[in-house]
Amino acid sequence: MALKLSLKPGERLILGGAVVKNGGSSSCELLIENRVPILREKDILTEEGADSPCRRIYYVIQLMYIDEGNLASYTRLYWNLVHDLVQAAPSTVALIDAINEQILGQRYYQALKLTRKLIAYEEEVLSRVSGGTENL
Amino acid sequence: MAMQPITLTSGMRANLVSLQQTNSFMEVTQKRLATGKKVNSALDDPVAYFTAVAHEQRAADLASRKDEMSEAVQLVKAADTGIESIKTLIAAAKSLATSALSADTTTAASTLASQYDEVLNQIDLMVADSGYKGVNLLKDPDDPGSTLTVKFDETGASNLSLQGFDASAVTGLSLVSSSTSAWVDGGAISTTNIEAAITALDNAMITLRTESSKLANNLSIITARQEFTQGMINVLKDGAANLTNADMNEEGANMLMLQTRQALGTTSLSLASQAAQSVLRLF
Repeated sequence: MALKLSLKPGERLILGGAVVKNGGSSSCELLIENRVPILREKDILTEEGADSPCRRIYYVIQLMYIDEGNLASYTRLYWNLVHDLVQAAPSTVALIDAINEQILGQRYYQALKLTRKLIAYEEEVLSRVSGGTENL
Repeated sequence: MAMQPITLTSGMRANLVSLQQTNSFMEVTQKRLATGKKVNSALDDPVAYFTAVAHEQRAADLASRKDEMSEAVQLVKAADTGIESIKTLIAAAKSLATSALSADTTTAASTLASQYDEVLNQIDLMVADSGYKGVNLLKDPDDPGSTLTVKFDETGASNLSLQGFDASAVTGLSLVSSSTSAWVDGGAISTTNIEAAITALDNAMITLRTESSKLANNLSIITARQEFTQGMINVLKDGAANLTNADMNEEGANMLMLQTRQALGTTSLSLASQAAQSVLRLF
């Protein structure tokens, strides 16, 4: 079954290694008829944007998804990041476990979705201590 | 002597500022920890306890899966060793057949033919000995003992099925024994039959190479999964061990420190491949 995507004017997405941009002046609809890595502009995190422990994890999973050929090196980095996170905040282990399960099944897109929850959780945890640091 | 004025480049100044900020961050978080101002914990103790137990159990389940993966690796290695030995035997059979082509007498050719048949027999014995713990990947795929499903997670939903292939000389690799297709026929050496035997040997070699590369591929999949499972086990154990003392206050402080440490570059993210980098730079 084809996946239907709508792209606003000027909006970009990653489609199986290619960056596709809607160059027209109106929205366009794309039908993706086979299984390829797809990442919409709003879901893409750049290296500069990966500025917190959980965002870094998101960034690495994103690389696993769009660049499966270099999986081995990304996996190594992933474990380093996850290890540090779980050491710092053990309560993240349940979410991390669910993310691991998705990665193990090579469902990187689902892993990314779960990691977004992890980022939201991280923001909540950080907000508890940021009260005293926000003026710095 | 006049003092040289000390000037900082903009890069150095940026570093200095970031270091000063780190120090302030750490002071603040440490002060918060020291004063122990209690923020309502999101996790009350019994919940944390049972969550920790659940994670420890999962780690144990995964550890048994990991052991199964090690066994599967051994099985694949056993099959691969078998294939390598069979390749050597086929090379030997081929040299016997080539010698028979240029044999002077029919007696010499007959002797070579019986040696050749013995080599084919050895291939079958080798096949029979290439099993590991009751599974043999070189047996007929219809045989129940020739497949193994390696489960990667505790439910087994994520798995890899290792399918055997028949490597026995006549039925599997389609080699022709000299008893079915005689090398000495009607008092003369039958070059046709010997050449047919050589062609069959060459084809068998190709089959074995293909199967060998399939095995290598499966082996690398299993090894990658094994490493991943080990990572999962470690994380679950780490998490479970600390979960019962988890305090949201402390976690927040730890996370902030981790963030700062990462920002200072102890963990570099700059390992995206050139291709991935060029893709992501467009956003």
